[in-house]
Amino acid sequence: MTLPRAYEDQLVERAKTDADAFGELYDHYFGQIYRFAYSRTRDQDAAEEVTQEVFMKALRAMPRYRPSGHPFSSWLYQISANAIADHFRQRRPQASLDAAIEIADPTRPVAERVVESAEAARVWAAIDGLPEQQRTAMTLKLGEDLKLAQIGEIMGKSEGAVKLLVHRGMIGVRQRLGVSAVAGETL
Amino acid sequence: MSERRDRFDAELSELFGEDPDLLRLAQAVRESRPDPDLDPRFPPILRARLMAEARTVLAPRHTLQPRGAPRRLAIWGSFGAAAALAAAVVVVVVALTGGTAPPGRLAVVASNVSHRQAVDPHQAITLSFNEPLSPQSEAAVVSALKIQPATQVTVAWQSAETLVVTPIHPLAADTDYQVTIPKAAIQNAGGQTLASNVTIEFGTQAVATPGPTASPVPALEPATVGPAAGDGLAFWGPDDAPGVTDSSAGQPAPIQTPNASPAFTATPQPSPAGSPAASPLNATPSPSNAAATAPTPAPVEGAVYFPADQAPVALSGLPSTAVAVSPDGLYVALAVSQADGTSAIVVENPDGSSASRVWPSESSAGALVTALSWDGTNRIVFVTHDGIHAVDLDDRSSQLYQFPVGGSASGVVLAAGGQAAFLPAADVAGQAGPGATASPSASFTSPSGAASPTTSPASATPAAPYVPTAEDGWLVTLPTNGGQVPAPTRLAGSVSGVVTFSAAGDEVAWVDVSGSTSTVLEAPVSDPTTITPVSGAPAEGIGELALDAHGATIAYALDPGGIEVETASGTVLGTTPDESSSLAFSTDGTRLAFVAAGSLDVAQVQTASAPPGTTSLCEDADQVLTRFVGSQVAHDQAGMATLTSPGAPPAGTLTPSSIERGYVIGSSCAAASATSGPTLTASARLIVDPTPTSPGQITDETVVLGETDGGWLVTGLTVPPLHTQGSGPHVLSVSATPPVAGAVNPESVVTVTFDSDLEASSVGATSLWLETGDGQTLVLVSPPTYDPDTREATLIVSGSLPAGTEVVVGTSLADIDGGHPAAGATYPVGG
Repeated sequence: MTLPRAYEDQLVERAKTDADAFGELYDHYFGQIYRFAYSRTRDQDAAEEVTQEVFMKALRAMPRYRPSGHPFSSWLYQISANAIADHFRQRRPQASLDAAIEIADPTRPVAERVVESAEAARVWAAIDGLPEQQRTAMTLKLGEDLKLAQIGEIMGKSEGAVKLLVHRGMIGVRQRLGVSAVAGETL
Repeated sequence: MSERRDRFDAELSELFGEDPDLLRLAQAVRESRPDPDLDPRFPPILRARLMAEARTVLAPRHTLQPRGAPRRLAIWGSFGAAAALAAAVVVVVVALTGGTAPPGRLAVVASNVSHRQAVDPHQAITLSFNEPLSPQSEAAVVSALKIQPATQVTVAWQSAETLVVTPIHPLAADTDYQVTIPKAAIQNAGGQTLASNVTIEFGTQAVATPGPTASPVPALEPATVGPAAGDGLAFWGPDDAPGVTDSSAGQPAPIQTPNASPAFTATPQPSPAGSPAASPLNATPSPSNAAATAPTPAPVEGAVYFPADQAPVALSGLPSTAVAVSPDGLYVALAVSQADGTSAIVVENPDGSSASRVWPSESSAGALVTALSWDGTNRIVFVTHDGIHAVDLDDRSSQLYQFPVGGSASGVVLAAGGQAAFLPAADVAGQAGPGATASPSASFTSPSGAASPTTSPASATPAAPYVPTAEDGWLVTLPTNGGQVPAPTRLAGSVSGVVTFSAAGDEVAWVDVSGSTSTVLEAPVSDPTTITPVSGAPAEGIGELALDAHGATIAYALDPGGIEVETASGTVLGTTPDESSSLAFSTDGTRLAFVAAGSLDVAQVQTASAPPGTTSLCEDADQVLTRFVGSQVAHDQAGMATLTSPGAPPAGTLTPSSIERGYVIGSSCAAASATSGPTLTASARLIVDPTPTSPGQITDETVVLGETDGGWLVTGLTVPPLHTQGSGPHVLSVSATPPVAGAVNPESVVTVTFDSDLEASSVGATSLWLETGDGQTLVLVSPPTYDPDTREATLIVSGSLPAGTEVVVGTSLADIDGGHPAAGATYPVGG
C-alpha cells in the first residue's frame, strides 16, 4: 500500500529527529526492501543482512535527507541497490547458473514454462546471470512493479536508459533459457 | 504479493509491444516472482535495533555540544527488542489521591516529548492518562494547561485519556519548554485527583525546522556548465572560471580550438625562462594525434574551462590529471597524460595557446603526475610515484620530498600554493625523523638549490625509523626556496584519507575516524596541532571535503546523499540531492564547482556569513567567539585558556560548571580607535537544562574580543550568576542588516527574535528600542513591528548603526500570558 504523498513527506521530515516516525517508515517499507533484497540475493541470510544495512544507513543519513521530488522509497531502493552490489562484490554467487537452469524442458514455449513454480526459480536464476545493471532494472520492474521513471531515479539513469536495460535484460533471459534448453537436449 | 501480480503493468506493453513473445515472457516472469522466505522474528528484531540506534543518531547536530542524556522520573516497560520503540516515550507516574475511590492507585501520564531534547518544533505534544478523565476535568485541563515560554497552542482531547497540544506556530529552536497542568484540574470519574501537578519538560532542536513562514534549508540550485566524465576533475581556471578535466562525456559547443595541442611524444624544446607564452611548444604531433590538428574540433578530452559569457576554452587535447592556474593568472599548468601512462607537465597561456612542456626534460624519465599546484615563486609543485617535486618555468626541477620504499602517490594531497602536502602513513614509513609520536624531532633536508634538473632526493638525518599505523596521516611543509623540509607533523586522530586544503592553502581539514562516529577537524597549516572540531559536520558518509579560501565554509560530498555546505560553525548554507564528486571552491568562496551526473555543475554559495551584527572587520573574531563559547560548553579549560588574552578574566573559573548548552545571541563590532584596536562585544547565552529535581537555569554573558598580535582573543568576560529561566519572553537572537549600497534612503534593519509569542500590542517604542554605547536612544524610522509567525520584532533606523549599538528590551514588553522580561536586558548589535 502506498502512503499518501503529503503524509509521507510529513513523516519523513519528522523522522529526521523522531524515532517513532522513523519506526513508522520502517514498518511501511520493510516488506518492499526485504523483498527486493531477497529477489536479488535469493538467500534469506543475505536478504536480512542487506535489509539491516539499508535501514541502518538510512537512519544514520536521515538528518541529511533532502526530498528529491520522488517517493522516499526511491532513496531506500537506491541504498539497497548499492548494498546489494557491495554484497555481491564481497561474496560471489556460489550456485552455478547452468546448474540452476539445465533441467528446463526445451519442448515447451519459454513463456509457458516460467509460470510454473518449478520453473520460476530457474527463470529468476537466469536473471541473476545478467549484467549488474540489467539485473537491478529487471528486479525493480518485474519484481517490484516500479515505474520506469522511479527506477531511473534509483539507478541515476534516464527513463530511456532504464527501458533499454529492461529490454536487453529480457532478451538476455530469453536467450539464456533458450540456450539452456538446447543444452538440456544434449544432456 | 498476489495482489501485485494481478495488477496490469501498462509499461510492459509499451516496452515489449512490438515483440509479443517477449511481452508474454516478461509478464510470465513478473507473475513468477518468488515470495521471499522470511523469518517472522527478523522484522521486530531489526526494528528494535533501529530504534536503539535512533536514540543516539536522531539528535541535534548544530548545538555546540549535545544536550545531556535525557533524565526521567520513572520508566516502565520492557527494554526487550520489541519494546525499544517505547523508549521514546517517557512515562511519568503521579499518585492519585483524594475522593472516595480506593486509595493507592497510580495514574500514569505518558507524553511523546517528555525529557526529549531534540523535539521537532512542529511536533504536536500528546499527554495520555491511564484512565478516562471526567467530562468536567477534560474542560478544566484545556483551560488550565500552560506552556512556557508562552506559546499559542490548540488543545484538544483525542480520546477521554489522550490530550493533544498543537502549537499555532512552530516552537522556538534550541529552547527548553515546560508544559504544566495543575493537579486540581485533573480528576477521574471517581473523583480522584493527582497528588501533584503534571509537568512535562522537553527541549527543541537546535536549528529550527522550517515553519510556514521560515526560510527552508536552502537548496544550492547548481547550474550545469558543461559535460563531464564521472572521473572528471573540477577546477577553477583563469579569471576564476569553472573548468573540468577529461570531459569525454560530450563536447561543449562551440569550442575554442587551442592554437597548439599536440601529443607530447616528440622532442620538445626548452622554453625561454619565464616566458612560456613566447615559446610555443616545438613538438611534432604524432600520427596518432592527427585529430588534434584537424580543422573541426575533436571531442574535448583534455581540460576545458568556461569563462562567463564566452565560448568554452579547451586547454589541452589530451586527458589531464591535474590543472592549476599560476598565482598571477598568466599561465595554466596541466599534467597531460601520455600514451605510455606517464604525464607531461605543460604550461599554456590562458587561451590554450603557446603550450610548452616543462617536465620531464628530454633526458629524464617521465612519471604519472597525480597532483600539481603553483607555489609563490612561479614554480610548479607536483606529485609522482616517488615523491614531491618542483619545476620552474626554465624547466629546472628538484625533488622536495622522497617517498620511502613502499610509499606511493596514492592519497597524497597537495595544498594550493604548493606550501604543504598531506601524506599517508606509507609515505612517511621508515623515514628517519618522525617518530611514532606527533612530534618528530629530526628534520628532512631538501636538495640544495633547485638549479639542477636532476638533483638528488631528500636525505634525512639518522634517527629511529617511524613505524606507521595505516590510519596515520601526516602534514609536511614544503620549502619554496630550497631550504630544509621540516619533519612532517602527524595529524590528530585516525585519518580516513578524506583530506583537503583551503583554496588559499592555509588551512587543512580531515575526517577523523578514531571515534564511534566520524568527526571533521580543521587546523592551520602553519600549526596543524591547533585543531578545531568542525561543528555540525555529518557523523558519517563523508566522501569528500572542500574548504573555501580560508576554511570558513566547508562542503561535504556525502554517500549516500549529495552535497552539504556549512559554515565552520555548523550553519547549513545549502544542499544538493545528487551524488557528486570533485568539489572545488572558487577563490572567493562564493561558488562551488563539482561533477555530478555527467556534468560540471556550479552552485552559488552564500558566503560564510558573519554572525548577527558583525561586519567583515570582525569576521575572524566571530570564529574565535564561536570556538570560545564551544569551549565553555565543553568545559574545555585548555581551549578557553588558549582563546583568552593574558590578563583577561579567567574564563575557566567564571564559566559555570553545570552548563550544558550555549549560543551567541548577538554581537557588535567596533573599529580601531586611536587608543585601541578593533573589538567585538557579544552576548552569549549559557544554559543548564532542567531536571526532574531542579528547574532550568540560564545566564547571558558578555564576551569582549580584541585583536592582538596573536589574532583575536577574549579580552573581557562577564558572567552573571545563573538564574531560573522563569516566565516572560527571552531574546533568542538579534541581527542587523546594513543599508543597501546606493539606496536612496539607506536604512539599517534590526531583527530581534523571541522565544515566546508576544502580546502584539505591547511591542512599541517604549518596550523595544536601540541605544548607542553612550546611552543615546536612536530614532526609529517607524515604530517597531512584530510578526507573530516568526516571533520577530523589527526596528528600522536611517543610515548605518553606530558602533556599540544595543537592543534594549523594556519590562513593558509582554508575552501572551502576561509575562515580562527581566529588567535591563540589553544585547549588542551591529556597529
